Amino acid sequence: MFPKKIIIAGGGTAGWMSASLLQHSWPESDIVLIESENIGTIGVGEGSTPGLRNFFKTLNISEQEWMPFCNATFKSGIEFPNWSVTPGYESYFHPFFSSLDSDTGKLFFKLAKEQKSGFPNNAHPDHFFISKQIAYQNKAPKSLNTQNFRLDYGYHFDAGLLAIFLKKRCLNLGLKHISDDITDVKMNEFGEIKELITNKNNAQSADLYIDCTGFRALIIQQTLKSEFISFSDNLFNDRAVAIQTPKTMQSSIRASTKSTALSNGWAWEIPLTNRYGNGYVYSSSFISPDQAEQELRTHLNIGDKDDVKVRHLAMKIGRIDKHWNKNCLAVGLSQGFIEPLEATALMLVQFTLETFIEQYTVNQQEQIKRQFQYNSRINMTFEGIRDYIVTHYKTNSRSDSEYWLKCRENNNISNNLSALLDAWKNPNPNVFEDELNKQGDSSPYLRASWFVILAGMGQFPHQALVKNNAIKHHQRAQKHCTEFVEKSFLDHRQYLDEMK
Amino acid sequence: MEHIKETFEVIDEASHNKLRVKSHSGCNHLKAVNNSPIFAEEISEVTANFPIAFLKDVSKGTFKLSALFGLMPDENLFVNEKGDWSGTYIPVALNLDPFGLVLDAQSDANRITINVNSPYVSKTEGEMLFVNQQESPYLANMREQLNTIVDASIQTDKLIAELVNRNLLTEFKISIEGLSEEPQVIDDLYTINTDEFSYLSKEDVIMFHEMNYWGAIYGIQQSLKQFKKLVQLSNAQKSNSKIKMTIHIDRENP
Repeated sequence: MFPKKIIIAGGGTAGWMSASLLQHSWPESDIVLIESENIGTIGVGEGSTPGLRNFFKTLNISEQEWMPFCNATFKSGIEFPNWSVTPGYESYFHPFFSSLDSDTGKLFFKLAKEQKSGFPNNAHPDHFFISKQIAYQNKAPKSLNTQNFRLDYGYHFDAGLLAIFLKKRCLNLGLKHISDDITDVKMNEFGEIKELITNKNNAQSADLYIDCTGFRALIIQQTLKSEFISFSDNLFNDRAVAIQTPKTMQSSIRASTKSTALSNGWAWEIPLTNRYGNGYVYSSSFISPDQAEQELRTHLNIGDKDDVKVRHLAMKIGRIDKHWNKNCLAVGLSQGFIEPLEATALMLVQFTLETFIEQYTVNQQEQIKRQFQYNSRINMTFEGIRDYIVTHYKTNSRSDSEYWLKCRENNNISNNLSALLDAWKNPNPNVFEDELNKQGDSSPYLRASWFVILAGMGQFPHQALVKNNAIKHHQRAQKHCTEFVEKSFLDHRQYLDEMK
Repeated sequence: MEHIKETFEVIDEASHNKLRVKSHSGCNHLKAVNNSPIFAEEISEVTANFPIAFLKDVSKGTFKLSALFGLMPDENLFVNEKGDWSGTYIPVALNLDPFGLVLDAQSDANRITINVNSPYVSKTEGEMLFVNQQESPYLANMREQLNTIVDASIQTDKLIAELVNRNLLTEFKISIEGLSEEPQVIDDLYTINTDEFSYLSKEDVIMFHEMNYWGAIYGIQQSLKQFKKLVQLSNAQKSNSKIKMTIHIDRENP
């Protein structure tokens, strides 16, 4: 069961990921992608979560094929400096996890539970996970020995190049492509999309329309009026300024995105093989675009250099309520956006598509029921990610600006998040995990990620933050991780060079 | 090592008026009690019978000085089938069990507490805590006994704090072979960090002497030899397994 004719409106990463997956899953379907020469893509968006590895596996695309083309590097996690000012917890690393973390991970949970009950352990997550050492030692998440273990990792890449790569592949496999602007969207009497009016071509009609038109959301929001729910009551950042900086071809590569807290937001630093991507995500209610650009330039140590390309962006933070609406599916920015603090945008694109492909039916009656369940699931995922991002802001301990104070004092948080944060503060060691279990699937983040963020941000009672020299478990765990990575994993730069 | 799950609640008539406390004669109720907190004053008696370890006191954020009665959790090698205690000494805290004391910061007075999870607490057997909504003579007597050990408790906490502040505690593990294919490791036990002695100032050395801490320190160190006794008792009591044990003390410079 599949739609006979599909039109994808819009290129970019969302458009070409949609084309790739739909073409792969429904090879008999007639698919056309319409993209404009005049409308650019968002142009940034260079980090992923481990799920993207499955995307390439599904399409049978090897890393050798796509990574060199996209200047891609590996990613073992995200570093968060300066969100917390608690001594000893000024920075932490959110790792991707591995079966190799089993023993040290168990120890981390035990120590963190004792520490949050008041015992002065040192449960800073950086001591306990392999991925932290992989990044720290400039290694690739690629091992020398062929041991059987699972190790999650993601990627950094040039999003523009990735779209081009996927486009070439789709066109080679027979996907139709129209280079044109969509000037109007017509509905039929049932409120469904009837056809897309284009500038230079005929009206285009299909059984299914995929809206990848970005924040404009031409079909799903402008035409079908899917309600947009803003997240601005607990996520204040609404703008970004992006600046690319050079990288020498011989320098070492760290398998980590760095997300440094600044005065009124945070700056990302993403290593590609040929350059760095940087950007300052901030709230326009607190600083202006000029001030943000100045602060980013200072942070990057480039002062007033005028030979750098600076891009200013506005972001619409929130989600729609009906992602699959009538005969349209919204994918990418058209369906919503959460600031890229945990690099979740492409994860949502992939999840939206894969779940849709699984759930799609041509049976009209069944479709209504499935649409409702589908949209609930997508919404739940958005809200789950939102809660995790909000946690970064709620647990910040900075007091250098009104912005950070407001982030911490903000009480517009979901019931789920409120219950989790309360449970963490409960001295009974099992209450937090019980609450996590109770919330079940509502969070896309597992127990380990919750422990990492709360421990990493130093969320322990005052008496548990004093140094206790008798406690050495964390040192032993770190030594184990350090030595294991030293002897088992390959140099990142070298591995990528040999891939070309 | 997992601590016994204790839940101490401040005694008040409203919550606890139905509770009774069983008498301590016979030690059958201690069959599964693997350790007991001890006071610094009783170290020399304890050292003659049981190994001593510092155990994590999670909610207080510090350590508890404890006597160990068995290797495995829930194991007490000193209670025989008849319910008799086979050591030459019973730590004071076991006689006070299930009661405790907590300092009420507001009134600066000590409040008597009861461990509601203690095997001695019952709704049907033993001495009543409250009679006609008033404190029973039994409870009044316990309160008096507890008050006399308040000082001992304070002194013990002070000793522990002095040791912690000077890096004088270190972790040790016991590795038991013979129970299963892989050696079983019991960790999160703490003892004296003798490496740090050379870093003590002269003033500290004298102060320790004046406070009688050196006796406590040596007593705690010596007590580690009692682990051999635990192994011996275990092998004697369990005809189907012979265990061997090694102790590994965490050293900076092994």
